[in-house]
Amino acid sequence: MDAMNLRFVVAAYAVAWAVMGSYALYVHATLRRAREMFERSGDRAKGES
Amino acid sequence: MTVTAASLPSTVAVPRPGRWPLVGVFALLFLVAAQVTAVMISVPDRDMGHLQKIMYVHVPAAWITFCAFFVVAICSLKVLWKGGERDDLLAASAAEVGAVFNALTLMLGMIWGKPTWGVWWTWDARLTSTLVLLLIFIGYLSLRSFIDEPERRAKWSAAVGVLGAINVPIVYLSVRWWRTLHQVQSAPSTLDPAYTLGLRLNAFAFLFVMIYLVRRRYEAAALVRAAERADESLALGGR
Amino acid sequence: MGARDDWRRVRAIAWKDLTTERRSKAGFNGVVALGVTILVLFGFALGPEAATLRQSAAGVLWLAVLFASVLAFNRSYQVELESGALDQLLLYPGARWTIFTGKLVANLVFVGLLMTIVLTVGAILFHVDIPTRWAELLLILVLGAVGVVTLGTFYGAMASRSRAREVLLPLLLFPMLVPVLLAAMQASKALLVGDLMSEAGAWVRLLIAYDLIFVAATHLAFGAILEG
Repeated sequence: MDAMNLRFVVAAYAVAWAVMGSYALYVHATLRRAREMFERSGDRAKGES
Repeated sequence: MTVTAASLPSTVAVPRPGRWPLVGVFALLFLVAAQVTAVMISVPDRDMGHLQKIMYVHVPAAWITFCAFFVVAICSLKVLWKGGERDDLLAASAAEVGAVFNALTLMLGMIWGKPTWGVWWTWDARLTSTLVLLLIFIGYLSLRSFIDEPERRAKWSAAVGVLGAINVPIVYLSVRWWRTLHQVQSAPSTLDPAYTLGLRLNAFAFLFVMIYLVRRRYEAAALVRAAERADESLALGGR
Repeated sequence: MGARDDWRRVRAIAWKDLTTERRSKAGFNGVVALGVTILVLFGFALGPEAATLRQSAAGVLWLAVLFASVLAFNRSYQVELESGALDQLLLYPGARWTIFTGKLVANLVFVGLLMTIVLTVGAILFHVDIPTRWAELLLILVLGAVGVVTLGTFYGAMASRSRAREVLLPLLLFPMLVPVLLAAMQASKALLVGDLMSEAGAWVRLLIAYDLIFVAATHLAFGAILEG
């Protein structure tokens, strides 16, 4: 019985790490995009002045 | 990364990454250590067997959900009180992180529930309240995505955030009454003190992860805002 | 500007809302027709056995009223949006909260009338008997309506001025209404089908608390969402 339950324990940890991992990746990708956007607008400002 | 903030007009300080990448690395390592430690030192529970180990991800995820929601509530109040953009962006970041951990809490609750109760869902008071909380989170984030003006978006989502916060305890109470009046639900067994160390370790680990993720999400949001503002003032002709 | 002037403003706004073209018979009839249609669809979903229908009547009736009311809340701001009258309203001197209260009262009357018709039809379709404790049931209907209309009017002010208003209003409103709906549905059901646990009283107390809290909170927060 316990061996069957082990499946769920493994699943739980897999899901936890998968969710947190993918969200972390998403946040870093968003941050990188934001930085690019910021730098581009900075260049635009410099170009204009 | 070199950012010449002086070349751009801004009301909110452009966030610098500073030492935060290190914080991220630390948070990750600490999380791994906490999880491995907790799993290794925990003895199979009398009733739950190895299922007890799920607590080390499920319970911290739930705590972080409420922690994040608390941040949203406080920042929303501050926005209504003083109207600061920083608080608004922080609220939004915390809401997004909170929603993710909220969804995770529910998934883990279901994974724990299936072998325990035989079903994926039981309309149990805590699980149901957590689901309603997720819907409130989603409503908040949807509202933000449908408003383009930053000023209006900040004020409106702050109002929604505060009202939502007021409602959370009421939702929990009403769902619990609904359950206890009609059926005595077997509550998850109270935790054996032997498990508290592992739980506490993981609670802190998750907290560090949350702080890191909220901060980085906030950085992204603040940078986007700064870029938008720069473009606006450019379009309007000079600073 | 005294308190009496404020309440006069509330009455004026409520009256205007109830009598303008958008509140015309056609609009009201449409919303009522929708409520009845929803009842019929629930009947198909749950019926035709009388026992099942009677058991689910309380829940179904509240849901039908809720879904139909959502239309009313969005439309409550439609005239102002189309004519830009909201900005003009703001220019007049006077407390801002009176605008909210005025609309709230108008919506209450509207939903009250809606409920009267929909509940009558629903009682017939779902084999509901008038309970001995009908006064208590009436109280629950009023308290539940206040809860639904208060938040509906508030969120409607935002949703009607956003993109995707049809989805945004229910998305914001329904989770927030969980306590009201639970309390109203369970209390109504208890009174209709048998209050085995004497729970109606407890639910009524929850409804009163909820209404007081959110009537206050929405009035306080309305200023933040009116402008901008």
